[in-house]
Amino acid sequence: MSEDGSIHIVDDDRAAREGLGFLLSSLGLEIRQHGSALDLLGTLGDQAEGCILADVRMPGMTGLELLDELKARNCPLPVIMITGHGDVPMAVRAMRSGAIDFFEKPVDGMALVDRIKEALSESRQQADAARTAAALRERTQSLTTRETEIARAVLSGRQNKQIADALGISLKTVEIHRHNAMDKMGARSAADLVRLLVAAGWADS
Amino acid sequence: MTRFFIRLSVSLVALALAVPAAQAEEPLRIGVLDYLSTEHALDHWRATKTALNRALPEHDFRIVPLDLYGLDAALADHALDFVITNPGNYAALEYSHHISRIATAEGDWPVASTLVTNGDLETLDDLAGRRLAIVAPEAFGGFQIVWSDMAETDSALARQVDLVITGYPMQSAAEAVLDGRADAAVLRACMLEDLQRKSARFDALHAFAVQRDVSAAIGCASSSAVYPGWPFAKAQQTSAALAKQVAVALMQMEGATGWTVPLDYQPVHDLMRKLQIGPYERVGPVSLREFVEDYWDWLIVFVVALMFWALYSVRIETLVRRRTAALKDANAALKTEMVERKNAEEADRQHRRELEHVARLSILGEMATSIAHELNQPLSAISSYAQGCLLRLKAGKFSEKDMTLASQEVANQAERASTMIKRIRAFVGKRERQLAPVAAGALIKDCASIYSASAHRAGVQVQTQIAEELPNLMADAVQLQQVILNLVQNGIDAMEQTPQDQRTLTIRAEARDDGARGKGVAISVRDNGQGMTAAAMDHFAEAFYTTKTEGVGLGLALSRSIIDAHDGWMRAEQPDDGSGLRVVVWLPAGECM
Repeated sequence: MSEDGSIHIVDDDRAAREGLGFLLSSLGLEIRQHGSALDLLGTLGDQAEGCILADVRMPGMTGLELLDELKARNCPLPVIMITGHGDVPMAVRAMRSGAIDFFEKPVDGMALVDRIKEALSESRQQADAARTAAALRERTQSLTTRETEIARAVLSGRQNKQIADALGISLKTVEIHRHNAMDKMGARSAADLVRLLVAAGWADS
Repeated sequence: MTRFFIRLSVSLVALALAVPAAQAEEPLRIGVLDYLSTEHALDHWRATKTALNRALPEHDFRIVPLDLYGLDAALADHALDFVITNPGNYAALEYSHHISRIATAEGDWPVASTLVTNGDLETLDDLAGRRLAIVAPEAFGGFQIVWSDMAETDSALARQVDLVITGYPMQSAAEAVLDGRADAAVLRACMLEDLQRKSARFDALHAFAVQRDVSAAIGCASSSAVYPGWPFAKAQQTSAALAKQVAVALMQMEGATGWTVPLDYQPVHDLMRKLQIGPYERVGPVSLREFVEDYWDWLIVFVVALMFWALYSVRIETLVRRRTAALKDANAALKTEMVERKNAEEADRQHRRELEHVARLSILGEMATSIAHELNQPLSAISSYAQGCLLRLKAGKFSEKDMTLASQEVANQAERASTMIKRIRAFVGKRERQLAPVAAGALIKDCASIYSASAHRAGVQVQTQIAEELPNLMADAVQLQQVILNLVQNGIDAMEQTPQDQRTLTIRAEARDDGARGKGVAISVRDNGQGMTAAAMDHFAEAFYTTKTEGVGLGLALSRSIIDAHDGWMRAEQPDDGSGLRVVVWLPAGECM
């Protein structure tokens, strides 16, 4: 997870790009500038935190095409689109493709800065959540098959007795495995275990 | 004073002569012109006096020798009864004292003049610029006859002759030539022969400008016609009866020198009138009558010439007036025609200008979105820099480096925007064609600022290949830009369906000689688009023919008319290597300025 929280500016026009950079650098944030969409994609890697500002109209890959590409790559960074000549259909398309906002040039600096701050904070939360989930997922990997079975049963809301009956084992054995699973997951109670498992992404499976 | 003394002397002479006359009756005085000496005069006319006294014994005839002035004065005093004088003086006295001739001398030397010289003179004309010795300006045979002949030969001749006046006797004139004081001399006819008989030293002289027939008639060399001899005239108060008696006596006189009937003195009068001397001397302003009388023949010639001139002038005037009127009509017609043509041309030009303007607007319209985007970039950058500065100021953390950078960029971007606006305005404005030397390379580079946005947006790569050392074109830069932009935009539009990586447009400029039209520059725009169907190719650059859904089909037609106006040509070609279309514009190289 390198360069956390940096702002990426993508614009083919050097002056517009550097101007935005100058504006945003007053925030004391790290600014990364890219002359084209491909340039950005080449350096982005698996960065999880930060924000992307992209011009809609660019040669080669346009801003909208970039949005699609980022979505395909599951890129978690929020994208704000900037355009010189915006119209409603274009804005709708951009939002639908996952942009969090749409600014028209010349941009209102204060509004943009506020929006970027928001985006960054969201991004940070998202990243935190993702990190937590990853840690929990790691912990779930350490569970034995029986512990995993019993944890799933707990998640689905069954009592120990029901679990013992379903698995054909003694109530005592169920309690021991559950205790071990709670230890491994760091849960203080059954309810806590359920919350952690949900956070680890078990809810959908 | 002089006149007073002359009168006194005449009175004295008359007094002296009066003494013997007391014996018979009043003596009759015959005044004679004395041009040599008193003795000579007395001697010369003694025969006449003797004859008269013999024929009319009751009268006492006396010879009174007088000079020209003496004669005049004595006649004025009525102191003379008769006068013998030379023909010239007679003509003068006839006029002033009304004397009338009763006889003319004959057998004396003929009244004519002989020009003599010791040099090589041959004609009267030869006297021009020479010295001519004469006895006196008043001398008739000794000067006036020759003077008259000179005036007749050439009116300017008399003025060109340098007169040397020797005084009497007449032989002095001949001596002046021998002494070298003169180149020629005027003598009375027969005098030369007389002098040569008396002295051998006159043999050096010879007569010139001799009139052969006259000379043959009188037996002496003569250079002039012969005038009537000396007249014997009666004074006005002398009675006709006495005059008749005297005339009879004179006619009956015998001897070498005698008298005959009075001759006609008209030639003498003519001569004097011609020279304007004697009675014909002009004292006052010339009266019109005199002038007309003198020059009537010349006047007739002059009047006839004047009439001819007037007739000629009238004729010329009429012709000129007639032709001027015709010319004026033709001019007016021409002027009207010119005005009409000018108006038509002006209307045509106006129309074309409007059309070109519309075409440029339409090209610009096609590119408008791109241009707006392009203009927005510098504005956006400026806005960003300014807001960045504001944020820094608010936060109280700004460095000089930051501020310098921002200000510099703001200035740069403002300049960029303004340049672009100027280009567009120059391109769109309505204007007359202005020919100036244009470098094709620079012109194409200039176009880039307008088409790049459009190309950019369409993802078209534009390549320019401009040959070095292209000749300049004599062209209207804006119109040429219009043509190039039109072709570029067409190329961009044609590649809508072309795969992204093949969207290449090539602008090439190279020197090319066109066989018929000489040196020039070929500018070609080649795209990799859909190309043209054979049908579309047939309609290439026709007005209102378009394959575009949004076009009106004027762009290429106007481009062609612009190129035609520059004496160039434009045509479309199917490239040999692959798809697309190449449009070639050829323009003649401009004359060196």
